[in-house]
Amino acid sequence: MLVTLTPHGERRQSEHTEPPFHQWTETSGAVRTTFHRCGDKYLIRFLRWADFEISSDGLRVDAWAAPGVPLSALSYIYINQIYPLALARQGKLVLHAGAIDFQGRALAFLGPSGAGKSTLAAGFATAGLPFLTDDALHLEHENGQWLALPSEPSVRLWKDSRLALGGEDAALTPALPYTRKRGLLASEAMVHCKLPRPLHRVYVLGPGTDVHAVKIERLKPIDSLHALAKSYFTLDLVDKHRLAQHFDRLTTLVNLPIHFSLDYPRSYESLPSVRDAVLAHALEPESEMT
Amino acid sequence: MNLSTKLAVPSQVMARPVGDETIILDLASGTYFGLDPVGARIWQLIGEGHPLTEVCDRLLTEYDVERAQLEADVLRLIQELLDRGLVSVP
Repeated sequence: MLVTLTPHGERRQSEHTEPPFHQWTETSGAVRTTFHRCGDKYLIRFLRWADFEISSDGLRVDAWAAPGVPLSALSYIYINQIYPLALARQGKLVLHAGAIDFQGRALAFLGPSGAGKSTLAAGFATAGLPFLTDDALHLEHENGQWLALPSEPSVRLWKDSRLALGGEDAALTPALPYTRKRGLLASEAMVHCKLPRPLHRVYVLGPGTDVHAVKIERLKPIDSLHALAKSYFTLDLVDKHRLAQHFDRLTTLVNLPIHFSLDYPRSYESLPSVRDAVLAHALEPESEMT
Repeated sequence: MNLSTKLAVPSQVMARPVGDETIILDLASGTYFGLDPVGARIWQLIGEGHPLTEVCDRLLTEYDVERAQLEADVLRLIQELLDRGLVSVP
Protein backbone atom coordinates (compact mmCIF):
# COMPACT_ATOMS: atom_id res chain seq x y z
CA MET A 1 0.00 0.00 0.00
CA LEU A 2 1.36 3.40 -0.94
CA VAL A 3 -0.45 5.27 1.84
CA THR A 4 -0.57 4.39 5.55
CA LEU A 5 -4.05 4.95 6.98
CA THR A 6 -4.51 5.25 10.74
CA PRO A 7 -8.15 5.31 11.94
CA HIS A 8 -8.52 6.92 15.37
CA GLY A 9 -12.17 6.27 16.20
CA GLU A 10 -14.77 8.97 16.78
CA ARG A 11 -14.09 12.68 17.19
CA ARG A 12 -16.39 15.68 17.34
CA GLN A 13 -15.85 18.10 14.47
CA SER A 14 -14.88 21.29 16.29
CA GLU A 15 -14.89 24.53 14.36
CA HIS A 16 -11.68 25.18 12.48
CA THR A 17 -10.00 28.52 13.16
CA GLU A 18 -8.84 29.18 9.61
CA PRO A 19 -11.22 29.42 6.64
CA PRO A 20 -10.94 26.59 4.10
CA PHE A 21 -8.80 27.10 1.01
CA HIS A 22 -11.18 24.97 -1.00
CA GLN A 23 -14.56 23.29 -0.65
CA TRP A 24 -16.88 20.89 -2.41
CA THR A 25 -20.57 21.62 -2.57
CA GLU A 26 -23.70 19.62 -3.27
CA THR A 27 -25.82 20.46 -6.30
CA SER A 28 -28.06 22.33 -3.85
CA GLY A 29 -25.14 24.61 -3.03
CA ALA A 30 -24.71 23.26 0.50
CA VAL A 31 -21.10 22.79 1.52
CA ARG A 32 -20.19 19.12 1.73
CA THR A 33 -16.45 19.10 2.24
CA THR A 34 -13.90 21.69 3.34
CA PHE A 35 -10.13 21.72 2.85
CA HIS A 36 -7.78 23.33 5.37
CA ARG A 37 -4.04 23.70 5.62
CA CYS A 38 -2.87 22.70 9.10
CA GLY A 39 0.85 23.20 9.47
CA ASP A 40 2.47 20.45 7.43
CA LYS A 41 -0.79 18.57 6.95
CA TYR A 42 -4.09 19.00 5.17
CA LEU A 43 -7.38 18.58 7.00
CA ILE A 44 -10.21 17.43 4.78
CA ARG A 45 -13.54 17.61 6.57
CA PHE A 46 -16.60 15.81 5.30
CA LEU A 47 -19.16 17.77 7.26
CA ARG A 48 -20.98 15.57 9.80
CA TRP A 49 -19.19 12.48 8.52
CA ALA A 50 -15.43 12.38 8.96
CA ASP A 51 -12.14 14.24 9.25
CA PHE A 52 -9.02 13.16 7.43
CA GLU A 53 -5.53 14.58 7.84
CA ILE A 54 -3.18 13.96 4.93
CA SER A 55 0.53 14.47 5.56
CA SER A 56 2.26 16.93 3.29
CA ASP A 57 4.12 14.12 1.53
CA GLY A 58 0.91 12.14 1.04
CA LEU A 59 2.31 9.02 2.71
CA ARG A 60 0.12 9.07 5.82
CA VAL A 61 -3.53 9.67 6.52
CA ASP A 62 -5.14 9.96 9.94
CA ALA A 63 -8.90 9.52 10.09
CA TRP A 64 -11.64 10.26 12.60
CA ALA A 65 -15.31 9.48 12.21
CA ALA A 66 -17.81 12.06 13.43
CA PRO A 67 -19.85 10.72 16.39
CA GLY A 68 -22.23 7.97 15.33
CA VAL A 69 -20.68 7.44 11.90
CA PRO A 70 -19.87 3.78 11.18
CA LEU A 71 -16.34 2.68 10.32
CA SER A 72 -17.63 1.41 6.96
CA ALA A 73 -18.53 4.97 5.96
CA LEU A 74 -15.06 6.13 6.96
CA SER A 75 -13.55 3.41 4.76
CA TYR A 76 -15.80 4.27 1.86
CA ILE A 77 -14.87 7.97 1.92
CA TYR A 78 -11.20 7.13 2.36
CA ILE A 79 -11.02 4.74 -0.59
CA ASN A 80 -13.03 6.86 -2.99
CA GLN A 81 -12.02 10.40 -2.06
CA ILE A 82 -8.98 10.55 0.20
CA TYR A 83 -6.68 7.86 -1.14
CA PRO A 84 -6.52 9.43 -4.64
CA LEU A 85 -5.75 12.81 -3.07
CA ALA A 86 -3.00 11.31 -0.93
CA LEU A 87 -1.48 9.74 -4.03
CA ALA A 88 -1.67 13.11 -5.76
CA ARG A 89 0.25 14.63 -2.83
CA GLN A 90 2.96 12.10 -3.55
CA GLY A 91 3.13 13.48 -7.09
CA LYS A 92 1.27 10.54 -8.62
CA LEU A 93 -1.05 11.14 -11.53
CA VAL A 94 -4.58 10.00 -10.68
CA LEU A 95 -7.36 10.72 -13.14
CA HIS A 96 -11.12 10.75 -12.73
CA ALA A 97 -11.42 7.77 -15.02
CA GLY A 98 -12.56 4.20 -15.21
CA ALA A 99 -10.49 1.60 -17.02
CA ILE A 100 -10.84 -1.91 -18.39
CA ASP A 101 -8.43 -4.56 -19.56
CA PHE A 102 -8.63 -5.40 -23.26
CA GLN A 103 -6.16 -8.03 -24.46
CA GLY A 104 -3.69 -7.09 -21.75
CA ARG A 105 -3.90 -3.35 -22.32
CA ALA A 106 -5.88 -0.66 -20.53
CA LEU A 107 -8.64 1.38 -22.10
CA ALA A 108 -9.46 4.40 -19.95
CA PHE A 109 -12.73 6.35 -19.87
CA LEU A 110 -12.36 9.89 -18.59
CA GLY A 111 -15.12 12.16 -17.42
CA PRO A 112 -16.62 14.11 -14.52
CA SER A 113 -19.04 12.66 -11.98
CA GLY A 114 -22.19 11.48 -13.69
CA ALA A 115 -20.57 11.07 -17.11
CA GLY A 116 -21.05 7.31 -17.08
CA LYS A 117 -17.58 6.00 -16.26
CA SER A 118 -18.73 3.46 -13.72
CA THR A 119 -21.66 2.25 -15.80
CA LEU A 120 -19.34 1.83 -18.74
CA ALA A 121 -16.73 -0.04 -16.69
CA ALA A 122 -19.42 -2.36 -15.33
CA GLY A 123 -20.91 -2.73 -18.81
CA PHE A 124 -17.60 -4.01 -20.13
CA ALA A 125 -16.84 -6.15 -17.09
CA THR A 126 -20.20 -7.93 -17.13
CA ALA A 127 -19.52 -8.72 -20.79
CA GLY A 128 -16.24 -10.45 -19.92
CA LEU A 129 -13.70 -7.62 -20.08
CA PRO A 130 -12.16 -7.12 -16.63
CA PHE A 131 -12.27 -3.69 -15.03
CA LEU A 132 -9.26 -2.13 -13.34
CA THR A 133 -11.09 0.76 -11.72
CA ASP A 134 -14.37 2.61 -11.99
CA ASP A 135 -13.55 6.17 -10.92
CA ALA A 136 -9.95 6.91 -9.90
CA LEU A 137 -7.24 5.76 -12.29
CA HIS A 138 -3.69 5.82 -10.98
CA LEU A 139 -1.15 6.04 -13.81
CA GLU A 140 2.57 5.43 -13.47
CA HIS A 141 5.14 6.31 -16.12
CA GLU A 142 7.88 3.69 -16.16
CA ASN A 143 10.52 3.03 -18.80
CA GLY A 144 8.70 5.23 -21.30
CA GLN A 145 5.39 3.43 -20.81
CA TRP A 146 2.25 4.51 -19.00
CA LEU A 147 0.84 1.84 -16.72
CA ALA A 148 -2.74 1.81 -15.45
CA LEU A 149 -2.93 0.44 -11.93
CA PRO A 150 -5.90 -1.50 -10.57
CA SER A 151 -8.04 -0.14 -7.78
CA GLU A 152 -10.72 -1.60 -5.49
CA PRO A 153 -12.58 -4.68 -6.81
CA SER A 154 -15.99 -3.03 -6.93
CA VAL A 155 -17.89 -0.63 -9.17
CA ARG A 156 -20.02 1.99 -7.44
CA LEU A 157 -23.38 2.38 -9.10
CA TRP A 158 -26.81 3.84 -8.52
CA LYS A 159 -29.57 1.31 -7.98
CA ASP A 160 -30.95 1.31 -11.53
CA SER A 161 -27.49 0.57 -12.98
CA ARG A 162 -26.81 -2.10 -10.35
CA LEU A 163 -30.01 -3.88 -11.26
CA ALA A 164 -29.55 -3.48 -15.02
CA LEU A 165 -25.95 -4.72 -15.02
CA GLY A 166 -25.69 -6.96 -11.97
CA GLY A 167 -29.20 -8.20 -11.47
CA GLU A 168 -31.18 -8.66 -8.26
CA ASP A 169 -28.79 -11.20 -6.74
CA ALA A 170 -25.50 -9.43 -7.34
CA ALA A 171 -23.12 -9.18 -4.37
CA LEU A 172 -22.87 -5.61 -3.14
CA THR A 173 -20.81 -3.57 -0.72
CA PRO A 174 -22.70 -2.65 2.49
CA ALA A 175 -25.32 0.08 2.34
CA LEU A 176 -24.10 3.34 3.84
CA PRO A 177 -25.95 6.41 5.09
CA TYR A 178 -23.33 8.55 3.31
CA THR A 179 -24.43 7.67 -0.21
CA ARG A 180 -27.14 5.83 -2.10
CA LYS A 181 -24.54 4.33 -4.40
CA ARG A 182 -23.38 0.81 -3.60
CA GLY A 183 -20.51 -1.13 -5.02
CA LEU A 184 -21.15 -4.06 -7.31
CA LEU A 185 -18.51 -6.49 -6.11
CA ALA A 186 -16.16 -8.21 -8.51
CA SER A 187 -17.24 -11.78 -9.20
CA GLU A 188 -17.18 -14.42 -11.90
CA ALA A 189 -19.84 -12.36 -13.64
CA MET A 190 -17.90 -9.13 -13.34
CA VAL A 191 -14.18 -9.80 -13.30
CA HIS A 192 -11.63 -7.46 -11.76
CA CYS A 193 -8.16 -7.10 -13.25
CA LYS A 194 -5.68 -7.14 -10.38
CA LEU A 195 -2.57 -6.37 -12.39
CA PRO A 196 -1.19 -3.14 -13.92
CA ARG A 197 -1.80 -2.83 -17.62
CA PRO A 198 -0.05 -0.65 -20.24
CA LEU A 199 -2.27 2.26 -21.20
CA HIS A 200 -3.52 1.84 -24.76
CA ARG A 201 -6.34 4.33 -25.24
CA VAL A 202 -7.92 7.24 -23.37
CA TYR A 203 -11.54 7.98 -24.26
CA VAL A 204 -12.95 11.29 -23.05
CA LEU A 205 -16.67 10.88 -22.51
CA GLY A 206 -19.03 13.34 -24.13
CA PRO A 207 -22.28 14.45 -22.50
CA GLY A 208 -24.52 11.96 -24.34
CA THR A 209 -26.99 14.63 -25.43
CA ASP A 210 -28.00 15.01 -29.08
CA VAL A 211 -26.18 11.83 -30.03
CA HIS A 212 -27.94 8.83 -31.52
CA ALA A 213 -25.05 6.50 -32.22
CA VAL A 214 -21.59 5.85 -30.90
CA LYS A 215 -19.17 8.52 -32.00
CA ILE A 216 -15.41 8.25 -31.60
CA GLU A 217 -13.10 11.00 -32.83
CA ARG A 218 -9.40 11.67 -32.40
CA LEU A 219 -8.54 14.46 -29.98
CA LYS A 220 -5.81 16.98 -30.65
CA PRO A 221 -3.21 17.09 -27.88
CA ILE A 222 -4.40 20.54 -26.76
CA ASP A 223 -7.98 19.24 -26.42
CA SER A 224 -6.73 16.21 -24.51
CA LEU A 225 -4.87 18.54 -22.17
CA HIS A 226 -8.02 20.58 -21.54
CA ALA A 227 -9.90 17.39 -20.67
CA LEU A 228 -7.19 15.90 -18.49
CA ALA A 229 -6.47 19.18 -16.71
CA LYS A 230 -10.08 19.14 -15.48
CA SER A 231 -9.92 15.48 -14.54
CA TYR A 232 -6.91 14.83 -12.36
CA PHE A 233 -6.92 14.60 -8.59
CA THR A 234 -5.02 17.37 -6.90
CA LEU A 235 -5.08 18.69 -3.37
CA ASP A 236 -3.26 22.01 -3.31
CA LEU A 237 -2.83 24.05 -6.48
CA VAL A 238 -0.62 26.53 -4.61
CA ASP A 239 2.06 23.86 -4.19
CA LYS A 240 4.35 24.83 -7.06
CA HIS A 241 6.43 21.69 -6.93
CA ARG A 242 3.42 19.40 -7.28
CA LEU A 243 1.86 21.67 -9.90
CA ALA A 244 5.04 21.45 -11.95
CA GLN A 245 5.14 17.66 -11.56
CA HIS A 246 1.57 17.24 -12.68
CA PHE A 247 2.04 19.65 -15.59
CA ASP A 248 5.05 17.65 -16.73
CA ARG A 249 3.19 14.36 -16.51
CA LEU A 250 0.03 15.62 -18.18
CA THR A 251 1.86 17.16 -21.12
CA THR A 252 3.88 13.97 -21.60
CA LEU A 253 0.68 11.92 -21.58
CA VAL A 254 -1.38 14.09 -23.93
CA ASN A 255 1.31 14.05 -26.62
CA LEU A 256 0.71 10.34 -27.15
CA PRO A 257 -1.64 9.63 -30.08
CA ILE A 258 -4.01 7.64 -27.86
CA HIS A 259 -6.68 10.19 -26.94
CA PHE A 260 -10.17 10.19 -28.39
CA SER A 261 -13.57 11.62 -27.63
CA LEU A 262 -16.32 9.05 -27.08
CA ASP A 263 -19.98 9.93 -27.08
CA TYR A 264 -23.04 7.71 -27.14
CA PRO A 265 -26.68 7.69 -26.08
CA ARG A 266 -26.91 7.05 -22.36
CA SER A 267 -29.07 3.97 -22.18
CA TYR A 268 -28.41 0.41 -21.04
CA GLU A 269 -29.63 -0.80 -24.44
CA SER A 270 -26.81 1.08 -26.16
CA LEU A 271 -24.02 -0.47 -24.04
CA PRO A 272 -23.43 -3.47 -26.35
CA SER A 273 -22.96 -1.20 -29.35
CA VAL A 274 -20.66 1.05 -27.31
CA ARG A 275 -18.59 -1.97 -26.36
CA ASP A 276 -18.39 -3.19 -29.93
CA ALA A 277 -17.42 0.21 -31.28
CA VAL A 278 -14.78 0.86 -28.62
CA LEU A 279 -13.20 -2.57 -28.95
CA ALA A 280 -13.11 -2.36 -32.75
CA HIS A 281 -11.55 1.07 -32.44
CA ALA A 282 -9.00 -0.14 -29.91
CA LEU A 283 -7.90 -2.83 -32.35
CA GLU A 284 -7.10 -0.33 -35.09
CA PRO A 285 -3.38 0.35 -35.55
CA GLU A 286 -2.54 3.91 -34.47
CA SER A 287 -1.05 4.71 -37.86
CA GLU A 288 -4.38 4.06 -39.54
CA MET A 289 -6.45 6.10 -37.15
CA THR A 290 -7.98 9.42 -38.15
CA MET B 1 11.39 47.09 -25.13
CA ASN B 2 12.47 47.13 -28.76
CA LEU B 3 13.86 44.79 -31.36
CA SER B 4 17.34 44.81 -29.89
CA THR B 5 15.99 43.51 -26.59
CA LYS B 6 17.02 40.10 -25.33
CA LEU B 7 14.53 38.47 -23.04
CA ALA B 8 14.71 36.01 -20.21
CA VAL B 9 12.22 33.41 -19.01
CA PRO B 10 11.63 33.63 -15.22
CA SER B 11 12.39 30.50 -13.24
CA GLN B 12 8.76 30.04 -12.17
CA VAL B 13 7.63 29.72 -15.79
CA MET B 14 7.44 26.28 -17.41
CA ALA B 15 6.71 25.57 -21.03
CA ARG B 16 5.95 22.26 -22.68
CA PRO B 17 5.10 21.32 -26.25
CA VAL B 18 1.57 20.01 -26.66
CA GLY B 19 1.05 18.88 -30.24
CA ASP B 20 2.16 21.76 -32.43
CA GLU B 21 1.44 24.31 -29.72
CA THR B 22 3.35 25.32 -26.62
CA ILE B 23 1.64 25.60 -23.26
CA ILE B 24 3.18 27.90 -20.71
CA LEU B 25 2.46 27.50 -17.00
CA ASP B 26 3.22 30.30 -14.57
CA LEU B 27 3.81 28.41 -11.34
CA ALA B 28 3.51 31.61 -9.32
CA SER B 29 -0.08 32.24 -10.38
CA GLY B 30 -1.07 28.76 -11.55
CA THR B 31 -2.31 30.15 -14.86
CA TYR B 32 -1.77 28.66 -18.30
CA PHE B 33 -1.09 30.39 -21.60
CA GLY B 34 -1.13 28.77 -25.02
CA LEU B 35 1.02 29.61 -28.02
CA ASP B 36 0.11 28.58 -31.55
CA PRO B 37 2.86 27.09 -33.74
CA VAL B 38 4.27 30.50 -34.75
CA GLY B 39 4.19 31.74 -31.15
CA ALA B 40 5.79 28.47 -30.08
CA ARG B 41 8.64 29.05 -32.53
CA ILE B 42 9.11 32.60 -31.22
CA TRP B 43 9.18 31.22 -27.67
CA GLN B 44 11.78 28.67 -28.65
CA LEU B 45 14.02 31.35 -30.20
CA ILE B 46 13.64 33.60 -27.16
CA GLY B 47 14.59 30.68 -24.95
CA GLU B 48 17.74 30.20 -27.00
CA GLY B 49 18.77 33.75 -26.09
CA HIS B 50 18.34 35.47 -29.44
CA PRO B 51 17.55 39.19 -29.44
CA LEU B 52 14.29 40.04 -31.12
CA THR B 53 15.97 41.23 -34.34
CA GLU B 54 17.47 37.79 -34.78
CA VAL B 55 14.15 36.18 -33.91
CA CYS B 56 12.59 38.17 -36.75
CA ASP B 57 15.49 37.33 -39.10
CA ARG B 58 14.98 33.62 -38.47
CA LEU B 59 11.23 33.77 -38.87
CA LEU B 60 11.52 35.60 -42.19
CA THR B 61 13.39 32.59 -43.57
CA GLU B 62 10.67 30.27 -42.28
CA TYR B 63 7.45 32.12 -43.07
CA ASP B 64 6.18 34.02 -46.08
CA VAL B 65 5.51 37.39 -44.44
CA GLU B 66 6.54 41.04 -44.81
CA ARG B 67 9.15 42.19 -42.29
CA ALA B 68 7.11 45.11 -41.01
CA GLN B 69 4.11 42.88 -40.31
CA LEU B 70 6.30 40.25 -38.69
CA GLU B 71 8.02 42.75 -36.40
CA ALA B 72 4.67 44.20 -35.35
CA ASP B 73 3.29 40.73 -34.59
CA VAL B 74 6.39 39.70 -32.67
CA LEU B 75 6.40 42.87 -30.59
CA ARG B 76 2.70 42.46 -29.83
CA LEU B 77 3.23 38.92 -28.63
CA ILE B 78 6.27 39.85 -26.56
CA GLN B 79 4.39 42.70 -24.92
CA GLU B 80 1.63 40.29 -23.97
CA LEU B 81 4.14 37.86 -22.51
CA LEU B 82 5.78 40.70 -20.58
CA ASP B 83 2.43 41.91 -19.26
CA ARG B 84 1.71 38.40 -17.97
CA GLY B 85 5.12 38.04 -16.41
CA LEU B 86 6.01 35.10 -18.63
CA VAL B 87 9.18 36.76 -19.93
CA SER B 88 11.29 39.52 -18.49
CA VAL B 89 13.93 41.99 -19.62
CA PRO B 90 17.13 41.12 -17.72
